[in-house]
Amino acid sequence: MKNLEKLSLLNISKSFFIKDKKIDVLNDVNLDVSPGEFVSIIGPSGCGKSTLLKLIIGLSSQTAGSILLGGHELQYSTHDIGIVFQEARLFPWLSVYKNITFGLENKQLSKDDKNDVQKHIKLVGLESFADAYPSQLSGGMQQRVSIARALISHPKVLLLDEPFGALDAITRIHMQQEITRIWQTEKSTILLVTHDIDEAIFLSDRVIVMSNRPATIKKIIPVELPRPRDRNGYDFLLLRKKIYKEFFDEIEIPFSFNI
Amino acid sequence: MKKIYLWFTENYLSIIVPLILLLIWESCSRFNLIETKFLPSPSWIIKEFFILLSNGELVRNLLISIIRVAEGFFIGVSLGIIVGIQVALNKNLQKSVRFIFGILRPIPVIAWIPVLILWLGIDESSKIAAISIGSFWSVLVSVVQAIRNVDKKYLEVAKVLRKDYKTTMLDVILPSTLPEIFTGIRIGIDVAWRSVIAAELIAASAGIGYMIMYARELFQIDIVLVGVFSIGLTGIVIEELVKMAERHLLRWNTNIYQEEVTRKI
Ligand SMILES: Nc1ncnc2c1ncn2[C@@H]1O[C@H](COP(=O)(O)OP(=O)(O)OP(=O)(O)O)[C@@H](O)[C@H]1O
Ligand SMILES: [Mg+2]
Repeated sequence: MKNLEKLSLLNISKSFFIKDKKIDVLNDVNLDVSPGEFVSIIGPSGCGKSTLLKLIIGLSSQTAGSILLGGHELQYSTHDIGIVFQEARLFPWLSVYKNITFGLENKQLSKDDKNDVQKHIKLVGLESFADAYPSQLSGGMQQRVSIARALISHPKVLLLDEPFGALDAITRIHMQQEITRIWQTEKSTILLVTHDIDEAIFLSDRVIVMSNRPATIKKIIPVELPRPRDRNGYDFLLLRKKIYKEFFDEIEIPFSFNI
Repeated sequence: MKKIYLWFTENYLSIIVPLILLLIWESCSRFNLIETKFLPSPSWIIKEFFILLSNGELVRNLLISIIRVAEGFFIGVSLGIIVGIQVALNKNLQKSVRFIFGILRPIPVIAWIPVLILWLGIDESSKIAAISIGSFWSVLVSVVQAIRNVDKKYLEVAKVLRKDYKTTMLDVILPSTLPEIFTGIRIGIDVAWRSVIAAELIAASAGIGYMIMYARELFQIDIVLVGVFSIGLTGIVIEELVKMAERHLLRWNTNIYQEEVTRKI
């Protein structure tokens, strides 16, 4: 069993410079993710969700604040974190099979590794496409390969950046069920960025709502529904309404009449 | 059969036009409109071609030249890839060599040949060096260009999967640059083939260039022409071989794949 650790984001701020113009993207983000927790982040487009994940995985560094895993500053070399990018980002010169094994630490595959790869190919439903090149797959199939590539190393923390955005509604629901199952069997900590409010409620223990840029955490909504969740249950719909309101209260200002 | 017919309806001009030109040439010779001492008739050249082919003279000389090209080309391409990678990845090295390379690169190989003969003598090494210089530059330029164009997104994938420098280099950067490197290789092999002839024309005791030179001294214009045309033919064969290797290595490349599709239509 993996020994999971708490992921802490402390006072994270991030600014970019576009031609001398400073753009504040994240402003004082604080978040603790418990070991084994499933947390979703939703927020307006361009508010800095992808940026936040890139800071955690170490592709870019925060302007201020710190990111801790188990109380220690994250090391760049850690194999404990995996990510599925917003785009599939497969290597076009590798077959589906090889793209997935690229996610493993060692090039030489043990027998267990090979079994595991087969299992993951099956998991994402691409058994008959193991030898296909990415250019021979649809967008959604490509994204499933990239999910398998991230899962294959069994990371303790898994970052998912709108991984199901390119999938059709039915495959998406199927993948949501799979992710729930993976999360329950693998016992990893998952941080999911999504635009889909239903998806956030269906999957997570807590939903983080971010504000417009410069983004900060606007609201944290715990989802205390038993699993498997019923998307049409009363409590589900109630939560959905609550989260919708977080987005639209800024826009739908109630009329006030001055007499 | 149907395939050949289809191909023919599409490409008949590329066959018919040369045939007509040959026919005109042949009849001009027959009616003594051109001096066969300077330009023999096509049938005569073809006859000479088969004579040289059957006594092994042509094949022997061609093979010697091809082996020279292969050796020089191998050295040039390897150096080009190694130096290209270093130059592309190291900003300081890039600045250091900018002017040196800028001056050296435009020098045609033929200008180096006298220098190389003085340095290395007239045996194999000077010719192989000449060939490698030509292919070195074309590969170097395309490697530097290609590495500069590597998609940052691929590098990020390698980074988040915590791949080391060597793996990133060999498994990500190299394959992603392969299409562009191949363009360099194709130009390089062309340059190499040209330069071996140039080298052999100046100093050699075997090879297709030597065969041409020797026949010229004996005023055997037909042998000269057979030699000249077989250089062209070999060039076509080499180009096709490179294209085959490219198609095999770059199966994943949709641009090539699509090319095949449109060809079928
Ligand atoms: N490398 C960069 N240089 C400059 N600005 C950047 C860079 N990366 C992101 N940004 C800016 O940061 C902001 C947030 O980008 P980010 O990709 O994190 O948004 P997002 O919340 O993931 O949006 P979406 O939901 O549309 O994917 C954007 O305004 C973008 O312009
Ligand atoms: Mg994003």
